[in-house]
Amino acid sequence: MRPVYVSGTGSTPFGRHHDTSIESLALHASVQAIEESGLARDQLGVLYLGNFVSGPLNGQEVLAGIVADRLGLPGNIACTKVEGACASGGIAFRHAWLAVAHGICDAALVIGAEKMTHASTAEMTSALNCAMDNELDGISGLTFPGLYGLAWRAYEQAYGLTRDEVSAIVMKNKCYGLLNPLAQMGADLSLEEIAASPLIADPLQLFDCCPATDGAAALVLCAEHLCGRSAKTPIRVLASVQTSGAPQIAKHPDLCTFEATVKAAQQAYKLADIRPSEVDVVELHDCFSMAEIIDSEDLGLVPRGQGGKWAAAGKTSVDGDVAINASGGLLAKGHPVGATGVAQIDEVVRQLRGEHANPVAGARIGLTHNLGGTGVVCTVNILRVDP
Amino acid sequence: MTAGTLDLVLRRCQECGALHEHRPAFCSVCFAQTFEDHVVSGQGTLVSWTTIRKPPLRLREQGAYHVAVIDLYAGLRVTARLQLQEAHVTTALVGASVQLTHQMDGVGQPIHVFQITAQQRDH
Repeated sequence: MRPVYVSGTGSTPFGRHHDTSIESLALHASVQAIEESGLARDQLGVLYLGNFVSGPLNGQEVLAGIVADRLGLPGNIACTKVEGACASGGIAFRHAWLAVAHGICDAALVIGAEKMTHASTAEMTSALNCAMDNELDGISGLTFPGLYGLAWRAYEQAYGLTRDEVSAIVMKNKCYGLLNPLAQMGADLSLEEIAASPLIADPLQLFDCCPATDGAAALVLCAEHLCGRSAKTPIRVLASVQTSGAPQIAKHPDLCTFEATVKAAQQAYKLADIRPSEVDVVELHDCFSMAEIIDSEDLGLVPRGQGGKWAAAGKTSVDGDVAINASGGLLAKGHPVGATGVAQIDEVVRQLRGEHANPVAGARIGLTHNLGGTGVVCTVNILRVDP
Repeated sequence: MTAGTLDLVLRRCQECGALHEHRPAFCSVCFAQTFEDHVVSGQGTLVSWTTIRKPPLRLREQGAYHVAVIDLYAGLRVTARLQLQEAHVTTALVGASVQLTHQMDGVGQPIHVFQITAQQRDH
């Protein structure tokens, strides 16, 4: 495999975009990324687009071909929409990376897009529940907040966990959201405000949950010989790994861990030839506050059972041992489901270029983690700014 | 809906003996397609539970309900409903003993409903 670089990035602000179609969101992000890469459109050899619920919520599928047409990309290139629930964007990135790394093309466009805020909470819950094995799990009435409510109680029993420890993650990420101009829902919250918010899936409360979001992000990946076309620092992709895990909650032997994350992280560290302690900045899949605790431990960044305690001690802040979700994460930046995996990489690229609004000083190596369904699919990417 | 204390009917692969909660098209262990009913105790242990206060559209009329993960004494983990007495809503403990009491109509297959029988595992 040959080296692959991120040479162009683009993103819409995350939030409510009621007057903008999902195609237009994807176009806005894509034009930014292509222009930043300095490449001509006819140099793009493939397009991968991550999306989850544009069918049920927007009545529009075949988004990859539609967006390629509106971007005026060269005719007949392979344009593929991929779906893996909340990990759709991460999967799109990995497939584009594979195409460039294996020489199928010299440059690729990756897009993640979702539009969901126009739907009612019940409609959205139903659409998102398509990511569950509805024959075996969904029949019980389990929802995704419910999945993390179950995980919280199991973790509390196994390791001990307080409301304030979990709230430390909410406070950190919401506070970082205030610093990120792309974020939907930054806030300066107190422990009391978080503890007083309504219950959603006990013990999970409102501020433990990411918001519904509209938004899109895009990246241009290229081989080394095309990096010079961009005025920006190219960021090398050291590893891009995708794994699968149990599609039903009842098939997880331990509710405090996702095997797909553990395996993806192990493979990614090996491929990148680094240790977890070398990672400076992390964007991980905090769809719920409890998820950040589990993910940070599954990724080997925090010792098992210490996720909440590390957050409460400030060890996962931008000036801590490892900076987690300096963007505000899904909790504050928002979670346009199919866009998230691509947007996480956009955030890490800006950190490694030294351009981020909430900078992690001296960051050289970044990691992104995108998890879908009940842990049925996971992607982990490791990126580095070359000296 | 049947009130009372129930055993659970699982499906056992006639080729390899693997247990399945519902009848699969193929056994995920050996690809066999023949299964037989296998009755096991409806008793188990509460692994975890939550209260769903924002149900999906199709369940909205039910209001809030409890979902649990249960380890059956027969050796299979299942996702099910949990019926809690008011006194247990804030005190139910992970590790409590539970018993299948009835089944609700699901979409094509029954939803198991368990109740807590003891706050500690009783076997």
